[in-house]
Amino acid sequence: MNTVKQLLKHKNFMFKLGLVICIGWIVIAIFAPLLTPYHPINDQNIVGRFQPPSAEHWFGTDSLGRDVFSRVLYGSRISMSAGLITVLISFGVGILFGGIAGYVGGVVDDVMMRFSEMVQSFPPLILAMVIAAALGPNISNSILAMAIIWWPNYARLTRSIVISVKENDYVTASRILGASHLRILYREILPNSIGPMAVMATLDLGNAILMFSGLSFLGLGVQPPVPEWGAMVSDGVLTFNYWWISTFPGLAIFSVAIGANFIGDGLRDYLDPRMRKRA
Amino acid sequence: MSNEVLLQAQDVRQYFTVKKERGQKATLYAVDGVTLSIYKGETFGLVGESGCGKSTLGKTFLRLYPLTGGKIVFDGKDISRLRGKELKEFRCKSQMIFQDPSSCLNPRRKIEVILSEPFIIHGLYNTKEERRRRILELCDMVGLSSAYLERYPHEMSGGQKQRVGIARALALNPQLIICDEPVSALDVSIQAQVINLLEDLQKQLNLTYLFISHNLSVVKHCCQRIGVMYLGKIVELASAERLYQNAMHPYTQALISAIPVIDDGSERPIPQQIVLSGDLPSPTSPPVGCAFHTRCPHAMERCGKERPTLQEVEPGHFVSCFLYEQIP
Ligand SMILES: Nc1ncnc2c1ncn2[C@@H]1O[C@H](COP(=O)(O)OP(=O)(O)OP(=O)(O)O)[C@@H](O)[C@H]1O
Ligand SMILES: [Mg+2]
Repeated sequence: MNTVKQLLKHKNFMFKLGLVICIGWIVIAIFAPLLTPYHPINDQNIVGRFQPPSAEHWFGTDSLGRDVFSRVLYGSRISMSAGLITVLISFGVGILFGGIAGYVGGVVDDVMMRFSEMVQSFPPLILAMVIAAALGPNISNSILAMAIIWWPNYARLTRSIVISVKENDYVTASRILGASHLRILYREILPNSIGPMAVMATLDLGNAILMFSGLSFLGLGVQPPVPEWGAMVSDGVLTFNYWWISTFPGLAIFSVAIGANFIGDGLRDYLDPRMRKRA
Repeated sequence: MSNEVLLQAQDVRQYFTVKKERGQKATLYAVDGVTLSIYKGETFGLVGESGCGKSTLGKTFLRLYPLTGGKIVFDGKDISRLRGKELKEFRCKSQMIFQDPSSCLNPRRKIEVILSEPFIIHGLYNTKEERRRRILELCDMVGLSSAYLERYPHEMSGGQKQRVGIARALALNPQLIICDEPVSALDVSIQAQVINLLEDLQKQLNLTYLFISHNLSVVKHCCQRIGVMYLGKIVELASAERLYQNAMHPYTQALISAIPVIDDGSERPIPQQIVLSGDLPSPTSPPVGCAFHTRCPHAMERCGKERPTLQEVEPGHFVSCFLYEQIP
């Protein structure tokens, strides 16, 4: 609890801005039905299509006459949750995998790391395409595909952190006191490794959303007419004269990516003892 | 110091497998055939260059590694193959104090939490008040104000952190404490305080110390017996007095001659400094024969072929060198 309080007191403007942006998008995602003037799918109006931004349609309308503003707000539901779920799954799997490899070491480490290198050696987009194509293009399959590509990064980072943390004398001291391996892992090693991992995860959120949008852009993520930022950008690209169709979802992606990066940077500063001032 | 042996090591060997470049594996002979006894209540000094295996020997005695070979008997009980519950019981009897106060305490925990760990792990003092009382008692013993209990390690000085480390080592009432260069990272002014504290605690609690250092003058001051280690082996072992008056092994002689002498105006001759040539050989490929022969000023032909063994040349004084070989 203390940590959270201190984090909020953090005098870093960018960090707060990032927090506002990301929490803002989560709130929007939750309350989208209350905030949107139109239904994102059903309110079509062929006559009123390709309208530029106006008081009635803040972000204009798309090729089917749907309100882009409403679709961008609704799109946050899928984009934010796809990004968050991908990062969370990778984070969990990566910590478990990398933590065990780094802590146990030896042959176990060799085998586990060779395996993760193997996964990582596939070109990510191609692997995602293969998985999405094999299992069928839908949201959960693309999230699964992304998690499969994503976790080795976390595993490798966790492993290297755990290897350096376990060299500390307080870990040896804990062993000499008779603590079990499990206790050492979660009392001594995890609390001292989680910081850089959390930084990586926040920095990654933007990337994950971008990648998911990329998959949708290629037609592998969500299927029309579901609103998703990447798919909306790709819609607009075909009708380039009507710039608003892809610009606004593009800006939405950009804002989350930037916001998450601000949070990650702030977190990193906070966790670096040299940058940290205590009250 | 009594005549009762607390810890007896017989031909203790601790090898590690290390990776060399291009993924090749090599054996690192960190501790290679150490035989010694530590008596109850004494301070046994262990000296030697960096990398000669002092810390490894200490940690081997604490059963931190699976023993490669040999036998360790602690308080009459063979502990070399202990596992599980028995090993955990042994953990209460021997503890360690570390060199680097900045890495010996978990930076994310308050001192009180750090000092509660031993009791939680072993299920002692189950109520909060009892535990608190014991922690305050420990603070008192090591001269730490109870105000520090609410602090994080980075809010304390090196000397204070070292006191916390000592308190943690005492928490389970151990008999043996491995002091691995406990003062070498501290300010000179604080070094003396910590050494005095260790000596007081030893008297109060009847502790036995294995005192590791690469600094012979510190060891001379506080140890009764001293073992000199070179490349994983004990090359000379004697009482502190005898070792300084009558160092026999050429390596010990070199170490002692390197202690800076203060010219106090007395007539004492200033000893000639013996400078060793060359570096410590790699512990992955120790020299054949006597480990020291590559740097020994008295090396003979024989030294490069045969390995000398530790022999008692006068009562309680052991040397591993062909110069003192008694013809049977
Ligand atoms: N866990 C380990 N795995 C592999 N090699 C190790 C391990 N621990 C120690 N070594 C090696 O064993 C040798 C002896 O190391 P040790 O730390 O015991 O030396 P030391 O005498 O304590 O030196 P110092 O005075 O620098 O502390 C070194 O070459 C070291 O690299
Ligand atoms: Mg050492």
